[in-house]
Amino acid sequence: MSPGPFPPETQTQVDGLETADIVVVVPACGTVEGVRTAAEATRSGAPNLRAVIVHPQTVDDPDAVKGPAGSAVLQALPCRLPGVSGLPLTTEDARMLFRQMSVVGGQVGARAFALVGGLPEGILPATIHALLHPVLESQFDLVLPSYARHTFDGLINRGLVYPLTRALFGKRANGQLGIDFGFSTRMMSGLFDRDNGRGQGPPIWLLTEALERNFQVCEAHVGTFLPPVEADDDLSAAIARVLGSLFEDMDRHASMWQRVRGSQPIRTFGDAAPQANEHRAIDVSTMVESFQLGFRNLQEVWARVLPPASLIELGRLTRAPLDRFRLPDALWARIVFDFALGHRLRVISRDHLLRAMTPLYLAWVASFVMEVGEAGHVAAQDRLERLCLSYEAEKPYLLARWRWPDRFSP
Amino acid sequence: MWSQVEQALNQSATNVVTEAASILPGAIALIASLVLAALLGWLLGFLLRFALRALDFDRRVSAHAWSDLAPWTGAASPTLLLARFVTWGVIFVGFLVGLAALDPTLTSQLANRLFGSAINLAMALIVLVVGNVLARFLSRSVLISLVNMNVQQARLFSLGVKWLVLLVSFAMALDYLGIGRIVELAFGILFGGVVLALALAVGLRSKDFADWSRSRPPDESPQEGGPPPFRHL
Repeated sequence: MSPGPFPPETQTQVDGLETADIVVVVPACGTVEGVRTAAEATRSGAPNLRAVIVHPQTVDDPDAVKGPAGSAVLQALPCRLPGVSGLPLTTEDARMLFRQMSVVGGQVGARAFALVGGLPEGILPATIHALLHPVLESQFDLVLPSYARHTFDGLINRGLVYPLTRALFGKRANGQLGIDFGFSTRMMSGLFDRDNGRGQGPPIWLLTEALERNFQVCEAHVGTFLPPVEADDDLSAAIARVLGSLFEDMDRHASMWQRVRGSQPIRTFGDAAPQANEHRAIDVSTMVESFQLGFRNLQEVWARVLPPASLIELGRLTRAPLDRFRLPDALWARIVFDFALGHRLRVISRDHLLRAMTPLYLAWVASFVMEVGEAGHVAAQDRLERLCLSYEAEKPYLLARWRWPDRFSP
Repeated sequence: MWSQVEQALNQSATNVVTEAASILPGAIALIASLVLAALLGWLLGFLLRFALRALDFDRRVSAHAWSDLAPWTGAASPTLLLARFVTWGVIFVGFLVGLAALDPTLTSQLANRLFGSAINLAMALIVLVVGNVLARFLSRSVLISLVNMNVQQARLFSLGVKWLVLLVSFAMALDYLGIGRIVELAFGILFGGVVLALALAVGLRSKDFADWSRSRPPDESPQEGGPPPFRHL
């Protein structure tokens, strides 16, 4: 039997919890004010529901969750929570968090769970409502977040993760790199079942975990994206972390995505917040120079995964003038697929492979930024939609290479 | 006198021809042995590759230990590594057979010397192999990191690291073999040369960077306390 996720003193508190309808976990609320904000948002966002607020151990004030007399009962559980700092969560952190939520939920008999990883100022009643309402009222199992973000923010998600997972699994779920999620009890139990008790195992991508069990997935508008810490500045490390985890998940679920064709939208709850659209001066030339430098120096690595035709196209791109620098969608999609296959076949060290993708990603970002420019959020969305359709159109290429890698080896 | 000279010339010519005639069959046997061994090695390597691919050997090994070993071997796949090992092993045996045909004592002398210092030789080989794969791994690691940091001389640094590691491993291997001081001296000079080249490269790069920083328009730098241009994640 695996050990529990809590130390004995916290386990005693867990055992003492009374029945509740929902469990709300707020790892980034490490102050009394933060916990009060989360409690108030829970009280207003999920009125008449009994809740347990699981917050970091740094707050040792039971009164922090007390509200006006007559309001629904809120209980507090201070405990040592893994921080929601990296995107996606490390496997160990994610598993520990889900184990804790599952144990607490099982103890109180909760019907729904909300993981709210953002800073307290971003925790609004609407956020809590958006994450829990689809589970409680519409029997969804997983609620993914949809954030209001600037056009040029989160491009690893918009240009890589979302189009790739959409083409693979056929669901237009944009919020996989989020930090706020809603879960049903059975979804949480499923995540808990996968755990081996030591926090180890393959990475957790919630969308695939849900789809694997035929669970219902939806999205909810949860406002602004406020991560508890700034993402690290090392872009290549971020790419390696996100894509390494995603490619591993892709390999694990190969039998599932090979049957999927096209994509369908998923239901979205709530009203979208206005998108941030302030002008940002982005130095595209530096990104293009990075790509050109990469092309001059990393060809021996790229040639291990990319076919000659792609390398020729990239060579042409290095000679293009800056104002006509455009990375075609189909080529970008094939590059991502080729790297996924290279990762699977371990043609070189996986870390080297993924980090060597950074100049190519910057080429795509430069191309996207120049093409969208000041056209606004709607135009950017249209452009990204075309990109996603290219990923879907190129999926047969991925399937062919995945099934017969020797035949297509560059 | 001329008759004595003629006799001496005839005798030496006869000796040379006799020596050549005695060596020639052995030399031909050596060449034939090498050619046959190369053919046999290639054939065995080909058959082994064919058999291992039929057994899906690469995928089975990749699922276990190959991922950690791959960067260190330089071979594209476990199958290729084994096939190369077999091919070169057969060629080496062919060489020994040919050597025995050339001079039966040579092989035994070689064997005596080889096995006499077998441990040192094995250690030297291990050091060379490890050094080689480590050099490849580290040079690629440096290359990718520096390219991602926009360092123009990334390849130069990468080559520097590669040759430094190779030289160190080569010197260590020679040390195991107990080869004299002249090699160590040569290594020292070469090592110093590589370090000097790297130091010059770093210095020049720093100068370039300083010049670039001075010439950079102030509006290109991110505003203090302001939002970054965008967040990738």
